[in-house]
Parts: sequence; structure tokens; C-alpha cells
Amino acid sequence: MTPIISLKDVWMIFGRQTTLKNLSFDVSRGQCLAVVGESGCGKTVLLKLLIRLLRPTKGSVWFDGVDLSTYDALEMAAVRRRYGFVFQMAALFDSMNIEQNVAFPLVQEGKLSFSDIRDKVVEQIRAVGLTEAVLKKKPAELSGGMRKRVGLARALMLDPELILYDEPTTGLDPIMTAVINELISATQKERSVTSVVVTHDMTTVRHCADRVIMLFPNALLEPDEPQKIFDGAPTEMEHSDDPRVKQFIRGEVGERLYMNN
Amino acid sequence: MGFIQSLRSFPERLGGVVMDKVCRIGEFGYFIAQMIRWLTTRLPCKGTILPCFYQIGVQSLPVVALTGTFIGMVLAVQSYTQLKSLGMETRMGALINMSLVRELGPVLAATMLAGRIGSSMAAELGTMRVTEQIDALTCMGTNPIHYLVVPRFLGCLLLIPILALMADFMGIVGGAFYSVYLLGIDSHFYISNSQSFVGLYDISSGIFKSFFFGGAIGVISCYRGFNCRAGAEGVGRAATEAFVNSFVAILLLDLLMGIFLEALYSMIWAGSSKLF
Repeated sequence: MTPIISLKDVWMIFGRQTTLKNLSFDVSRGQCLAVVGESGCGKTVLLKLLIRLLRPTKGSVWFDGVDLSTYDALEMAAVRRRYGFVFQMAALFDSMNIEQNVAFPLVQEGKLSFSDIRDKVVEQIRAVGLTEAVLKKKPAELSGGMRKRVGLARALMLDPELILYDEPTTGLDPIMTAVINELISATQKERSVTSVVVTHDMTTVRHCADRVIMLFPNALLEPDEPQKIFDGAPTEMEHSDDPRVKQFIRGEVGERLYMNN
Repeated sequence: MGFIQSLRSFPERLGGVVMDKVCRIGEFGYFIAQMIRWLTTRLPCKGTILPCFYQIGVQSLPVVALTGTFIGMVLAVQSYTQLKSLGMETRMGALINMSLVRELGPVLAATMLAGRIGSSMAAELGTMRVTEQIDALTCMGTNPIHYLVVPRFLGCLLLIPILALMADFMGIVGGAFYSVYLLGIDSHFYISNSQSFVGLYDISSGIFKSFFFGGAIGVISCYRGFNCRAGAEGVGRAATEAFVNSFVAILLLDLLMGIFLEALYSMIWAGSSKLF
């Protein structure tokens, strides 16, 4: 079966800084992949490559068996409608209320009537554990956790095949973190979607992921070392012998306290 | 040693700066090309265009009217003493109205709008860039140039000439009010002199220039906002650069349009002086 996502020898270089180095992996349909690593290792860049918000310096990114670089702008827009993207700070449109924000993908698609769109908005808002009372509010009136839930509701509006989460639990309290983790798991199970979750929260990894990849900042690697330092199940990661993986899981400072990277 | 090293690295740094400028010009050209492509293939829906038109057109009316009125009155104050010493104060109408409709009305209205609309658009788009709202649009399959830039550009292109006409009208009213009621110029001579000197070509040339000013404000401000750097500083810088670059573009276009329109005038109405 064709993997839904394939990265083939991907390099991402900004000026003189190599952010991603020769990265290759596949993601199977229905899988929930967590990508972890410390800040600056290129997790968000990787996520943006998967939806062609950025293009790799070298190598290729494939979605459903097709190299994304072969699509023109209009074709890519159609392909992007098969994705859902939950942004770190939700990225809701300030000028619109919550109803308009959640309805936006369907309004732009223009296939459904306004009443059908309204019904779907209410359905999605309830699916992420919110009530209709939030619909007329502006994003600025909601808490961080509520905004992330609205962001997830918006990402689900077009029934995506692949959902990309960019640090979905960052900045949330433990209870709201658990709520978001539960929503990611429930979405994964109920809709049979594929998920790629970029995070540095091991609770999210343990709760949601079938597989975890750990990246290491390129600046701290030896020239011949691969950037992907772990690829396996979350339980295997807990028992990894790699000191860098252990250090990440335990959250130890080690020798990093005074380093610039 | 440090001096020699810095001398050696000078060509590299110079090359870097030149490459950076060339890339920016290329980016700007690509941005304009994308905008024109969307303008000629599919216009945004009414619900996207109307709020932009309201913000650019309706909300700018008071400030443009005020600017126009005061320009007219200031012109009356400045020209009165000079013309009175020559015994030509009844010609004030011609001087004020000609200056207003050909030059000051369109240029000062455009400058005011570059500050009010251009900075606001750059800050709004810049904030959307910084908070990933533009990325969110792209991820939902919506082209941000089509959705965000085209309506703002159209608003500037179509409404700034109308606002310039409004500034002209208010300037004429302001100048006439100050001259006739406060300086005591005879209204009959003021009006007849204005009519005999200011023609339709003068008014049209001012409005013609305003289309270019409007287009320049729209495209420069949207480009600055779209390519905003990260953080609050980036948004502030985008807003400032949008105004400064628009202002420079207005001055440059005013000069070029002025030369072109004078040449056109001389070509159509032979016998007038030529600039080149």
C-alpha cells in the first residue's frame, strides 16, 4: 500500500544554516506519527514541507504517491484541501467570529448551502467539546485551549485525510493538555485519518502516537551522523539506550545550559 | 590583520547585498505578476471586496475632505499677499484651483491615504503573516494573494481617484470661502477667472495621476505586509516602510506623469511650450 507521506532525502538549508539534513521516512495511512525533538531541530519546518508551505532545498516530499513539487499552484490548492493543519497558536482569523472561522474552508469551497455549512459548523464545534455559545465570539475572547479546539474544528471541516498538528499542547495547563490529547486520539480513531503531531511533550507522544521520530539539531551533530536519532514505537523510545533520547525524555539539562544552540 | 580581512571580505559582502536587492526586486515582480494573474482570471467575491472598499473609501472621506479644505485655505493665505502686490488678487481663483486640481489635491490626498490606508494594510497583513493566518489560508486551499491582496489593490486603484476628486472639490470650496468671505475678493471675478483658466484637461490629468498613485499604494503596502519580518518590530517596520515607499513612489510617479501629461497636452494643443 502506498504510504500517504514520503520524504526522500530531504535537505532544508536557510542561508548558511542547515535545518534538515538528508531526512527520509514514510508515513502509512491511519498512522499517528509524533515528531519530537528539542527547539530548533526543524520540527515545524518539517511540517511546513509536508504541505508545501516551504519547498525542500534538496530531495522530495510525496503525498499519496505524487511528488508535491510536480503540482502547479491551483493543483496544490486542491491537494491542500485533503489536509488539515492545526497551528501552534491556532491562527484563527482575528476579523471573523468563531462561526465564520470554522465555516471558512466550506464557504471558500462553495459546494454547500449556508444552512448546511451552519449545521456542519455546529456539529464540529460540539465534536471538539465546545458549545454554540462560542460561535458569535471573536478569537480574542477565547482562552488558548478553546482557540486550539476551534482550530481543530476548522481543520476537520473538509474531512481531511491527513492532519498536521504543530505543537498542539504548547502553553496549555495539564488538564487542557489532556483534553487536547484526548481529542487528537478520538479524531484519529473515529475518522481513520493519518496524523503527524509535532511536539516536545512526551505526554502527547505516549497518549496519541503509534510511532515516534526524534530529530536532533543539526548544529550539534557530527558531520556523518543522521539527524533522525530515533524511529520506533513510543514504548521503545522509553527504553532507548541513546543518551540523547534519554536526556530528552527525562528533561535533563546536561551540558546544554550554557550552549547557544 | 582585521583591516586586511575586512578588505578581503568586502567583495563578498557587497555581492551579498547586491544579490539580496536583486532577489527583492524579483520577489516584488513575482508578487505583482501573481496579483495581475488573479485580477485577470477570477475576481474575489462581493463579501470580500465590499469591506475593503468601505475601509478604504468611506472611512477615509473625513480625513481627505479635511485635508482638501485646508490646502485650499492655505493656498489662499499664501498667494494673497503676492498677488495683491501685483494688483492681481482677483486671479487668485485661477491660481488656487489650477494648483489644486493638477497637483496638490491628488498628491496630498494620495500622501494622506498612504499614511492612513497603506500603513494600516501593511500592519494588518503583517500581523496576519506573523500569527500564521496567511499560512492558514494557504493550508485551506485559498490563495492569499487572491483573497487578501486583490480586494485591497482594487480598493486603492478605484477609490483613491474618487477621494482625490473629493479633495479637489473641498479645496476649491475652502479656497473660495477664505478668499471671498475672509479676504474680501470679489466673487464674480474669482469664479470667472477660475472658469477661464481651469479646464477639463487639468481636472482629468489630476485624476489620471491618482489611478497610478492608488495602484502604487495598494501594491507596495500589500507587498510590505506580506513580506513582514517576525515579531512586533517586523510589523512596525512593515507599516513604516509601506508609507515611506508609497510616498517615494507617489513623488516619482508625479514627476513622470507630469512630464507625460505636459507632452500630451502640447501634442494635442499645438503651440504650447514643450518640456522635451
